[in-house]
Amino acid sequence: MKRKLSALALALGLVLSLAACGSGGDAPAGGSSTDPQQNTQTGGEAAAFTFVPADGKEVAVNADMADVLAQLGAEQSYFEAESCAFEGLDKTYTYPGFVITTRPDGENDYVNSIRLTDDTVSTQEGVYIGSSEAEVITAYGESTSDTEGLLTYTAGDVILSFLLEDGVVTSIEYFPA
Amino acid sequence: MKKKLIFTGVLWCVLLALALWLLNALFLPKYMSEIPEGALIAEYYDETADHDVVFIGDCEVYENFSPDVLWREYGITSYIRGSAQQLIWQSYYLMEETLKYETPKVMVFNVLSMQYGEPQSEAYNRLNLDGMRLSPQKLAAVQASMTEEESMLSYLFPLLRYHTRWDELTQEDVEYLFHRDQVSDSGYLMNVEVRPAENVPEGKPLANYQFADICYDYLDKMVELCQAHGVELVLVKAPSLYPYWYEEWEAQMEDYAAAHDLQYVNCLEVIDEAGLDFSTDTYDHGLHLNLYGAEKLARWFGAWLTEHCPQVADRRRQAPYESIWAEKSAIYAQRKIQLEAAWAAEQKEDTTE
Repeated sequence: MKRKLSALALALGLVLSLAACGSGGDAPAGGSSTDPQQNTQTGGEAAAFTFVPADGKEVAVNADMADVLAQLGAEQSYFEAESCAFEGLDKTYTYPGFVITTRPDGENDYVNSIRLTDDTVSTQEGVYIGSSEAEVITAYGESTSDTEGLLTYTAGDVILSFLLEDGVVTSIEYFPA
Repeated sequence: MKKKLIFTGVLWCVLLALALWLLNALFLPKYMSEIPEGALIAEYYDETADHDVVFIGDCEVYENFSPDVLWREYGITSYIRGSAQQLIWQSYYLMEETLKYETPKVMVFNVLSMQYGEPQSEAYNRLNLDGMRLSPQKLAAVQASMTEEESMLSYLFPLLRYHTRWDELTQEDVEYLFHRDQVSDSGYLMNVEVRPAENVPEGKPLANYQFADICYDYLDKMVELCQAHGVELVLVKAPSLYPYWYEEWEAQMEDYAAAHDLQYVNCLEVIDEAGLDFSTDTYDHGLHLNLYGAEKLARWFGAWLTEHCPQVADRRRQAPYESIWAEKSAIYAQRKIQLEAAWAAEQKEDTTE
């Protein structure tokens, strides 16, 4: 009997150890690490592309939003959206000329995107809403994007994208690579 | 001797299977006190009568329409087969599965998921798929939904995925080992909290507004499936203010509905007509309606269904619907009282802090 019980225990152990190999990471639900956005990289090497608003303060993708807020001061308007089902707020901070969105990770919020919304601000390389396609290519070179009307450039862990309409930049956005 | 050996072997196999089944039940997240959205899909199987209208889609259906109002004010029997970030292929297979159990008069599909042309995240897949009964539809839905890191086997044997919860198990996992409490009212997930919609951002410009081919493929399949079963497919866009619904997306849906002779209702265009007030009728700043908004929208939509889908009958005073829905309404009213009391207490606490 003892031998049979051992066999059963062995079989169960085998199944569970196989199970342990079957998947990695935490359980996707029922625990605390369920937010799909939490898998996004938050650290990594320094971003080559950063955004410098008119007043000379620097905002980087993946930066801690608390530090950004300390630099930039109060936003013009603020919006927060809870993820369906999971905890954590995606936040949108609107400043004159640009919009920052964040993603939650643990207790902190990190910059998930910086989007330039008018021509009062520009990228560090001098491209702004209204620049021509040629000016973008002069500043950044040939794009790797194969989507029409979209030029993208990756540096470090940041992608800088330019949307164009009739050869003119209509949107500029920094987001994680 | 040989018989005894066979008997012993079978017995041990049964015991092993039983042990694994129990472990599976123990480790599977219960979605009772946290993330109730995960319990929505499975609740459908407890329904005891058919429905004339079945809603299919993401949070924009299970948070925005009140089946209780549809019943009380129009005698419309309905159920919402909704789940968080339900992707269109998941909706299709849920639709197909639903038609195994019943043949409603109308299927209402919310079109927001047309924006997702590829699997998004395992976490949402689990909420949408773990609750489905094992069936060809579930297998097909899993196959279509899996992200790169996922395996079909882990959906067939969830223990393979959830065994790492061993140090997170709580009393709830034991309490709900063999049963679940009902978290929804006919698929509607009630929320009475009020958080006004303010500063809702405009949608950011996109490089490509065209919905993916795969989304159209599944929409085509929905049309064919409903036609084959004599069910009218109605497309809706719920009145959620965020995520942003682009004009370019709207044009595609209008064109599709016209080309396929479908009725399409963009509820964003009837916000005033339905009496929705986003300073009082949303619990999360405009993403989802709260109970008061969902009741207003159901009131408007019930009138629309009555006028535009005459095959949907008034079932009041008909057996077995009258007694079934009387019981459902009582549970709904009780839940409303409990949630309102909890929300009032939370607000009181906030003001005294």
